[in-house]
Amino acid sequence: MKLRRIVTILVKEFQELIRDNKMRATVLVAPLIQILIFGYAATYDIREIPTAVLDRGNSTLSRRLVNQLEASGYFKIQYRLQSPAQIDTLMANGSVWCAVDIPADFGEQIADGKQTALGVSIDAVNSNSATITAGYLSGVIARLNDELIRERAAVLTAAPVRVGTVDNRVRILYNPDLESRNFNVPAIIVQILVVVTLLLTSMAIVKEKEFGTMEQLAVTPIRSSELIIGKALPYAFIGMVDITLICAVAVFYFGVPLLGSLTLLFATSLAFMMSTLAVGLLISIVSKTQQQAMMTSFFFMMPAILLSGFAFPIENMPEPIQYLTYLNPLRYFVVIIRAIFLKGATTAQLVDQIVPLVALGLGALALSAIWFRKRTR
Amino acid sequence: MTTAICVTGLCKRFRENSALDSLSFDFPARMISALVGPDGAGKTTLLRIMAGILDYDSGQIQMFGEDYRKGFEAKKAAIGYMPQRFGLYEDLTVQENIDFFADLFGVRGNERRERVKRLLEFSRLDPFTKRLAGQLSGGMKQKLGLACALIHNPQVLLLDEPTNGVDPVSRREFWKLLYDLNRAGTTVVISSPYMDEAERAGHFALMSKGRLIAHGIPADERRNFQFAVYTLPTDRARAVKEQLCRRNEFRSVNLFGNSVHIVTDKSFQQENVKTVLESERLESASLQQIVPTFEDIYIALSTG
Repeated sequence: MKLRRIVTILVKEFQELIRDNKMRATVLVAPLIQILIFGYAATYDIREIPTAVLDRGNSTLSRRLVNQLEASGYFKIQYRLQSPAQIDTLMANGSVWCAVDIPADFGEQIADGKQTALGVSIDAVNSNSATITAGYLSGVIARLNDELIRERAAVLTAAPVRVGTVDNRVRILYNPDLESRNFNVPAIIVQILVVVTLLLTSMAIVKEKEFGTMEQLAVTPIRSSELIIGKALPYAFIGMVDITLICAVAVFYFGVPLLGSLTLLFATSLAFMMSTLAVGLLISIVSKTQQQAMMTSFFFMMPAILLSGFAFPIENMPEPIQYLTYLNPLRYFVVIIRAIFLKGATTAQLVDQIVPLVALGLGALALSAIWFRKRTR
Repeated sequence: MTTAICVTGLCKRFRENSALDSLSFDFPARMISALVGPDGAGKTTLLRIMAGILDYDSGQIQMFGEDYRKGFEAKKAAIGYMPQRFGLYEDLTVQENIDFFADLFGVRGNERRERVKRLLEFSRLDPFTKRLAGQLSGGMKQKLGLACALIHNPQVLLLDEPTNGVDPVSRREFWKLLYDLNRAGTTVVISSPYMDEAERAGHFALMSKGRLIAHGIPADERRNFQFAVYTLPTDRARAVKEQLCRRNEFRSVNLFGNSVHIVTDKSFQQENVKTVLESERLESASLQQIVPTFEDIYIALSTG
């Protein structure tokens, strides 16, 4: 293996990359746009749920409930209805996600000291946001009930009322504001890194085949290992540039805390990229056209991202699929990058994630080198 | 005459298809050999095997007496190969393309400077060194390809249909470059589907369906062709050809512009041909025996 020939390939790759407008956009602009868009979009926090209210009795108490719903910030009352039929129409065409039907005797019943029921409809097409909506609604109603009890007791006893209650004091660690963005943005960094490095490298060798330059390279003294390394290094470099860029946006623009060491972040990124670069090269080697390579890359990327635990916890997956995720480099890196960002984790704390990540990377690189040698001779 | 590349009983199969069928041929050193034959004859397969980028099933292949299967890496330096679709890096300039291959072949120092200068002059690309390869004309691309294939000063140059799709003027220029190279001592093997290219070469090998069907010096082959060829000028060549083909008495009847060429066994005299023509009520006075063109030979052998 000769360094000079590796450098020759490396320089050539950069020259081509710099001249190719499309590539420049893919490398620099696309990741920035992605982090900006996803940074805003990737949040589980739901606010201003479009809501309709049918207040049949229009009592003081019912108005108080509606005011409290709106004051919570979670609900936005967009419609005040006159007939129950309107509820179905609005729910069906998706104008509102939540409809509250307040019975005519709502105020009287409560004033009489009786229990009354509230009719609530929730659009559960998205089961996740439906659960959250129901949770918010219960919270508002519980607070109203609490107030009603205290007021009632005050009226009955004249003296100040003392109601014994439980106050749960939860210590919320690592993400004290419970910002789902802090949890999601680091995972998005992983996804962007996968898309960029995998897609670019999957083009690297198939491009030479498509343009017929491979044939010409084959008669030069270059060895397959030199070509593989010369092809992988420029994209590893680009991956590092990209991760710097998007981490900067995450920290300085979105205010995601980066508590851990930057060195560890870069080192683990490199380890992670060994896998994505190797898989990209492997795809490039077995594909005949760039289009084929692109399709294969997506075929790998989609499950790799979905089974990485970025949104769906791996612990909840069926057991066979859980075992499958051990082969997914994203699985480890998502844990690592979240821990570095939010917990300030150290190398020692992450060793059980780093070791399999490096092993997968080395294995994939070796596999692509072997495969390449078999294909070319 | 020494042999540059000696091919003996070479066989290569792609699944069920036999691409080379125990082919034997000696490519003479310091000459231009043309490998001609219709598409699918196996020319590219043979060239790729000779370039060392395709393995073969059986047979033997030697360069200057040394077997290919023994340490081929060392022989790479002696071979220059320009594939059918020469791959240039279109986003790199002419100079960068040449530099890239010079780097890979490890050509350095004074030797490199001189050689790059000489190749640029020789290919007349020196005014275009800063132009992107993608913006060159077809003929110029071929010349740049040639310059890149020659950067390590190979003894043997293998060219796979280099003039395919190149305009006649550029083609003529390209051949001039080949003659210059040949005069300087380089062995050239060029493949082509066109017959006139065989006539430009000093030596030819005609391939069909993976076999060698004729070889030698073009002029000799024309003079000593095993069949007799007659030409019959006519203003309705196509109809005459159809008519004569139906008679089934000649080896082949082919269209040549405003005349038909009739190929017969040598024993078949001119008088006999005239008799056939007259029986078909065709005018036979202008029938004439000719020295076969290379195209006659090609068609007669590859269809016969």
